[in-house]
Amino acid sequence: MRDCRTAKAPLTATLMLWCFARLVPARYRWEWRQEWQSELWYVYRGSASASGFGAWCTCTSFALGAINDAIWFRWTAERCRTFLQSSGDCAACLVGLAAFSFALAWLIPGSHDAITSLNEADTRHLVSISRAGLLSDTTPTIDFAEYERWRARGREWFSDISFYRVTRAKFIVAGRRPETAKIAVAGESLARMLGLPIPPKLLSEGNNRNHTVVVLTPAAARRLIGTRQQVGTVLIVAGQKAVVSAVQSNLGSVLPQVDALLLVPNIELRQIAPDAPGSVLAQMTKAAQEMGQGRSWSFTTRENGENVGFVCRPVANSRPRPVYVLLFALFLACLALPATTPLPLGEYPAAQHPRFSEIRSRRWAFLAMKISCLILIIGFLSLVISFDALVLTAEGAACTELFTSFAGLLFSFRWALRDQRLRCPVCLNLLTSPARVGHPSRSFLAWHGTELICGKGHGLLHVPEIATSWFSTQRWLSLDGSWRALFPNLAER
Amino acid sequence: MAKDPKLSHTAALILQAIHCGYIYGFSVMESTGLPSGTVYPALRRLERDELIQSQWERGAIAEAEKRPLRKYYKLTREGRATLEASQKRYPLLKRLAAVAEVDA
Repeated sequence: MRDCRTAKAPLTATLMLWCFARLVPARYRWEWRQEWQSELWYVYRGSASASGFGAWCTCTSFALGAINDAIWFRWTAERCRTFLQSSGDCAACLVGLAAFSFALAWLIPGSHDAITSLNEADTRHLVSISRAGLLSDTTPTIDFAEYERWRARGREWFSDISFYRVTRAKFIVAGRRPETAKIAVAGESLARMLGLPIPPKLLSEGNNRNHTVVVLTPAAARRLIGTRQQVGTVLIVAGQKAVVSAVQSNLGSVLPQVDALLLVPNIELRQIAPDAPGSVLAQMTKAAQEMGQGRSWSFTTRENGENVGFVCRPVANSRPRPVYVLLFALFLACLALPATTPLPLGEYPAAQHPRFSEIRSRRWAFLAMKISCLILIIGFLSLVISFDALVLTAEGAACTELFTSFAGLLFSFRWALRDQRLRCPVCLNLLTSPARVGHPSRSFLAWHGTELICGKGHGLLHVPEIATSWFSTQRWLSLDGSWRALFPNLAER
Repeated sequence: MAKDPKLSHTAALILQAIHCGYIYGFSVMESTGLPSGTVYPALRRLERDELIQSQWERGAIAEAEKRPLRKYYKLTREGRATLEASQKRYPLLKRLAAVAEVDA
């Protein structure tokens, strides 16, 4: 058994108790912490036979239980919901949650990439070209000879054009197990179109094979190289030496289902067999952009006396950006909201309070703050869920984001409206002491429903149980100065 | 507090443990096998319902033994009555008393 005088509980458990103690109302906090700290000391002493790690686990799991106790104190011992009752607590909690969800999304790699991809090169002017009549734009349908012909003369619609072939290749990185990944092999024109930071000398015509450049998606970079410095790493791809020049978040959206882009000198690209099929990405001229207006469009060329159709699909449209998905979910949630809760916030007669316009602006500002924070919270958390918690394709991630953000926004907006209705319009604190008023059998001559009161004595809220033509929504009744004797804080109004 | 309160099995188990002489949180955990996140909130509820009473031990005793102060719990009169009712409802509760006697 450890010596009583030297037994000191692990720092993690002590720190956890200190954090959980913040949840306990101030007047119980000191005693609550004393008891848990004391018990932790005995738990640690009792785990003497266990190893250092075993004792740490025992103490940590013991301290984890303190959160239940602290929450019990917060919600039950106080006998009322003081947490979030005041508008300040509610605002602080929402802002804190928004900051936490942002930090979570920023720290977790997948959602971090989704956030940072918002600032990357604009790909709205890029189109992928494939033969007409195919559903998928990922199937290689254009042979190299055809691409060469377009490159030579097709400057009317496309200012730049690039051919690439998708294949699987083995990646060997020093100190790591060889891995196989899907790569797109392309020339420097693709790097130029994507705005990739490639030093020009690396891809100059006279370079040898040692200067092949690799651009990785963030997920592939983590899988193939790990968390160490990724840019500048030298590796072997498909038997040739290459250097990682960039880790690009939007690579996956431009070249779907590809882990890496292998940029080779043009001289090497020209060695591809003329009938080898591949895919083509093109940068539209202004005239083509105006003609396409962000939608798919097609054109026809004459080959060997026959008309052959091609479809140009905008790259930006093929993979929706997370922010647009969130905005669409917001639109859907706004449409669905009236089906889940009534929209009116109640009647607050203007004549009852001398500072009515100021109070009304504060109330609306509070509601706007709540809704803004909720949008941020749901937005960041849905990114975390769709880009990290579930391993999905880009389309799957967009669907998950749409579903989670729609559900989250709908229920959080519902909470925001219900919470707003139950707040005093003057101090914005939650109303308390609900009381039943009237009888359903006497609704012909009097109303029946629930009456709530502001704890500071600003007024009463009458919520009808059944909406009638003369009492359709909740109604606020301000209390005048004659109530001051019951509410000492009433003087603050 | 109702005259004949119906306790959950967990609450009754904790009441029985205190009755058997496990009078502080950690010993209740050890004797019942319940986790800390269940035992301490249950102790708070039982104390709120006046079935148990808590008291800090005297500082001089803990000081002399060079250890932190302990908070002890004991049954109130209502607590004992409730425990008797619970023992009828959960007959296996008495086994804990037998185990405690063997341990002693």
